[in-house]
Amino acid sequence: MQLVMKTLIYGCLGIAVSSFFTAQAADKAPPASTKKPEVTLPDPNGEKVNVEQIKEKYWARGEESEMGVVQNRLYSKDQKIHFNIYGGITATDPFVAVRTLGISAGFYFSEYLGLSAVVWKSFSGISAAERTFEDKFAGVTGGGRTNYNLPLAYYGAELTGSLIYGKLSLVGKKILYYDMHVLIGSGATNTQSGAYYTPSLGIGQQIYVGKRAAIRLDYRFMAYRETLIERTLPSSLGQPIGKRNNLSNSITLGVQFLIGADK
Amino acid sequence: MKTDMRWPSATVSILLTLTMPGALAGEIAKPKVANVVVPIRAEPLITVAKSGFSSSQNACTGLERWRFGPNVFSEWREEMTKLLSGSMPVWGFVQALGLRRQAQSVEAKVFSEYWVSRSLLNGKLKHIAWNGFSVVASREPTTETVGIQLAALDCLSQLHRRYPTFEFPERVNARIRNYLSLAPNDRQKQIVWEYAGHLLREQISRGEERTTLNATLEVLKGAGVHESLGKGLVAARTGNHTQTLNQLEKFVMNPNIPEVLRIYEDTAHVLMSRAYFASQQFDRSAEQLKLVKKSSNELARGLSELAWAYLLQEKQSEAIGTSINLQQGGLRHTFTPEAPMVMAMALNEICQYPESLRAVDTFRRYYEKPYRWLAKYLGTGIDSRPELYSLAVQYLKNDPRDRRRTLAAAPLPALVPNKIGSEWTRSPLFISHQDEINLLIESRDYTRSLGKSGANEQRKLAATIKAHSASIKDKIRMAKKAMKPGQDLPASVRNELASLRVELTFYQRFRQGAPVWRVVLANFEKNANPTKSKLVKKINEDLLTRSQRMLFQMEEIAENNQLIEVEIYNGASQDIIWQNAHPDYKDLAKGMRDDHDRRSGAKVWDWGKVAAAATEDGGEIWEDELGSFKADLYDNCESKDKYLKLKRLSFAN
Repeated sequence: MQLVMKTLIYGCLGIAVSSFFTAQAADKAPPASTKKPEVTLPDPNGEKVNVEQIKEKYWARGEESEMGVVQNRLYSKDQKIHFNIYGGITATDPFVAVRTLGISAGFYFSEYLGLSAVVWKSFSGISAAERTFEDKFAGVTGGGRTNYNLPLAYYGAELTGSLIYGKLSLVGKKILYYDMHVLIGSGATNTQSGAYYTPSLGIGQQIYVGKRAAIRLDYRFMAYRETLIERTLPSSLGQPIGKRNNLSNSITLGVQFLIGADK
Repeated sequence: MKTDMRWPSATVSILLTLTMPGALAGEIAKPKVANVVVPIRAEPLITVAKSGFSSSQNACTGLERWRFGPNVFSEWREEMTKLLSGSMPVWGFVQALGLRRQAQSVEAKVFSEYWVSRSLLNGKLKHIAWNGFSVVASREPTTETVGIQLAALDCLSQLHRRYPTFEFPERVNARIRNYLSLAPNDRQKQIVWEYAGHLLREQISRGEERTTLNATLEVLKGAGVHESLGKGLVAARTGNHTQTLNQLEKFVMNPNIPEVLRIYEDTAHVLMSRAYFASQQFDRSAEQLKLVKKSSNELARGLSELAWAYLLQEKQSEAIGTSINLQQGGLRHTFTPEAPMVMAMALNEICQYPESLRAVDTFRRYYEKPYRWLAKYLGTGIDSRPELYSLAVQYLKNDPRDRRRTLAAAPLPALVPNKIGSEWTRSPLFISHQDEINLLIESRDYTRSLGKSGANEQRKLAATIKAHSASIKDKIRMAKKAMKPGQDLPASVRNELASLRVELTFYQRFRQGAPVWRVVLANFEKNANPTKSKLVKKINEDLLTRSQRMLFQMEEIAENNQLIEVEIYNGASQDIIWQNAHPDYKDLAKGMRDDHDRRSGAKVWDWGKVAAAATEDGGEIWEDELGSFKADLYDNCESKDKYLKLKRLSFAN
C-alpha cells in the first residue's frame, strides 16, 4: 500500500516540474531580426552556402544548361514559341478515309518540356473498302452500306517531352540534328454525331533544317467513345444506334517554326 | 591529439558518465506510452543471440541491424528498434541514458553509450554524435564489447566520409590494431580497413611523416583494394612512380571496388597519368587522363594535362582539340591558363603562325581580367581588403545567369572573376570545410527542434500520467471499500499500478535527461563559433595560397607566351622569305591540302564547326567528345618538306 501511495504522490509531484527541454529551447531562441543586414559581402565568420552543386562539375555551379551532356545546343528550343503547319492521315474505322490538315502553337519551357494547342480539320469520306462493299451489295435490301461516323475535326492541348536529342549522319554526306519527343494530349474530336473527349498518346521526331525551322513527323494514338448513326435501315435512318469505342492512329507531317531569341 | 576542431569529448564524457543512484534495476515491462509507430520490415532490425555478444551490420545507415547478446535486456532492444525505425531521437536519447545508469554489464554500458550517440546522430547533431562514437571506440576493445565498438568505428568512418574535416581521434587511431585482431570475421575486418583507409588519406592530406603513414599501411595489409589504394597514394606522395603505377593499377583494375572507394577512381587515374608523364610515357599518361569521368572536378585539370601529353607526343591536332575543349561551354569558366599556351605551341609546331598568334591572344583576352584582379587584391593591404572566404561565398551565392548584371553593379575587388572564383571553390578544402560550417549552422536549428520535441514528449507523458493516476485513485478507493481486511488489491488494479510505474519511470528518465541535454546544448553553443572561426581561417589560408599560385602561374605563362611569340614571328618571317624563294610552292601546297582533305575526309567524321574561343559562335559541346577532340589542321611545315622532296625528284629526273 505504501508503494501505491508513493507511486501516486511521486507521479503527481513529478509532473508538476517544468519542462527543462522547453525552457532551454525558449532561452536560446534568437531574437527576431527586424533590420536587413547592411553588408553586401557574406559573413567573414562563416555563412551557410550550398556546396553540393560544386562537388561535381564545379564550373557549372549547378546551372542546368552547363551541367548537361550537351552544352551550347546548336538547335535550341528553350523558351521559344513554336508554330506548326501539318497534314496527315488518320487510320480509324476501315470504312472511313480521313485526311487531316492542321496547325498547332505552343511554348517550350525548357529543352525538354513544352505545351501546345493543337487543331486540325479532318477531310473525311468513305474508304475504298466501303465503296467496294456498297458496290457489291448494292441490290441487297438493308445492305450495301455500313454504319459509320465521320470525324470532322480535333482540338486539344498537348504536353511535349523531348527526350532524345542528337546528331545523325545522312548517308555519310550530311549531319542531321534530331529531336525525339513523346506527346500526351487531351482534347475533343468533333464528329458527325457530336464532340467526344479524346485523350491521346504520341511519339514524334523533328529534324532541324535551320535554327528556326524543323520538319516534324508525329504519330498519335487517340481514343474516344462515339455514337453511331444508322445508315442502312431506312426505318431508323439518321438515328443514333448505340455507342462504340473508336481507336484512331494519326500520322502527321509538317513544318515547325521556332520563334524567340537563343539563350 | 587533434580535438581542438571537434566537440570536446568532455561533453560526451560528462554525458556518458552521469549515473543515477537508486534507479530502477532489472527489466521493465513494455511501455504503453511510447508514441511510436514501428514500420513493418522484411528483415528484423534486431535478433537475439542466445550466447555471445552484441554486434551490428551497416551501422549508422538506414540498413543498420543488430544482433544482441543476453546482457542487453529486452526493453532496451525494443527501444533501440524504435530508434532505428525512425522514432524521435530524443526518446532514444533519454532511454539510452536510462540504460547507461542501470547497466550492470560492460557490454550494456558500452551499448548505451553507442545508443546515446546514435540518437544524437538521428537528431542530426553530428558533431556531438562524432564525439560520442569516439568515446565508445576509444575504449580498450574486448571480446565482450568489440561488436559494439566496431559499430562505433563504422559510424566514425561514415561521418568522416560525409565530413572529411572531422578528424579521427588519436586515442581511437591507437587502437586500430587491437580492433583488427579482435574482429571476428572478414566483414568486421572491412570496417577496420575502411577506417584505416580514411585515416591514411587524412594523414596524407595533413602531410604526416612517412613513419606514421607506414604504421597505418601496416593495418591495411591484406585489405585488398584498400591496401593498393593506400600504397598507391603514399607512393604518389613520395614520388615513387613505379610503386604508384603498380599499386594504383591494381586498384583501378579491381572489378570489386567497394562503393566507398569509387570516388577515388578519378584521383587514381590522374595520379597514374602524372606518374606516366614523369616517366615520359606520354601516350599512357594520355590514356589515363581520358578515363577521368566527365563529371569529375578533376576534369578541367585533367584536360589541361592531356593537352600537354599530346603535345609531347607530337600529336598537335589532338593537343589543339583538347585545348579548345577548355575554352568552350562550362569549362571556359575554369582556371586552365596553360591550355591556350599549349595550343599556341602546337599551332607553331605545324607552322600555322596566324592561328598560333590568335591562341596567344586568347590567353591575353581571357586571363587579363583574372590577372589584374588578383594582382590588385594581393597588392592591397590585409586590413583594407575583404576576406577571401567572403568573396568565395559571394561568388557561389551569385546566380551565374545574373553575372552580367552584377558585373555592372559591383566594384572591384568585390566581384570575383569566374576563373578565379571557380578555382577557389573547387578546392576540396573549401568544399569540405564549408560543408562543416553548414552543418554547424544547421545544428543550431536541430538542437532547438530536438529540445522542443523532448519537451512535447515530456508534456504528453505528464498528461497521460495525470489521467492515469486519477483513474487509478478511484479504482483503489472502490476496491478498498470492497476489500476485506488482509486482502490484497485486485489483479487488474495491481496491473494498472505497474503500468503507471513504468510511465513514471519513463517520465523520470526524461527529467533526468534534461540536465544532460542542457550540458550538451551549452557545450555545443560554446564551441560552435570558435570551431566555425577555425574552419574559416583554414579556408582563408587555402584560398590565399591558391591565389598566390594562380598569379604566379599566369605571370609565368605570360612570359612563356612572349617567347612563343618571338618564335612565331621568327618562323613566320622565315616562311615569307622561303615562300618568296619558292614562288611555285603556293600552288603545290594548295594541291597537297586538297589531297589531304580528301584523304582525311575518308577516315575522320566532320562533326561541324567549333569555335576556338568562348566568345565566338561555336558549335555544340558533347560531353563524350571532351578529351577526344581533334583539330583538322593541315601541317604546313610538312608540306614544305614534301615540296622540297618533289623538287629534288624533278631535278634528279
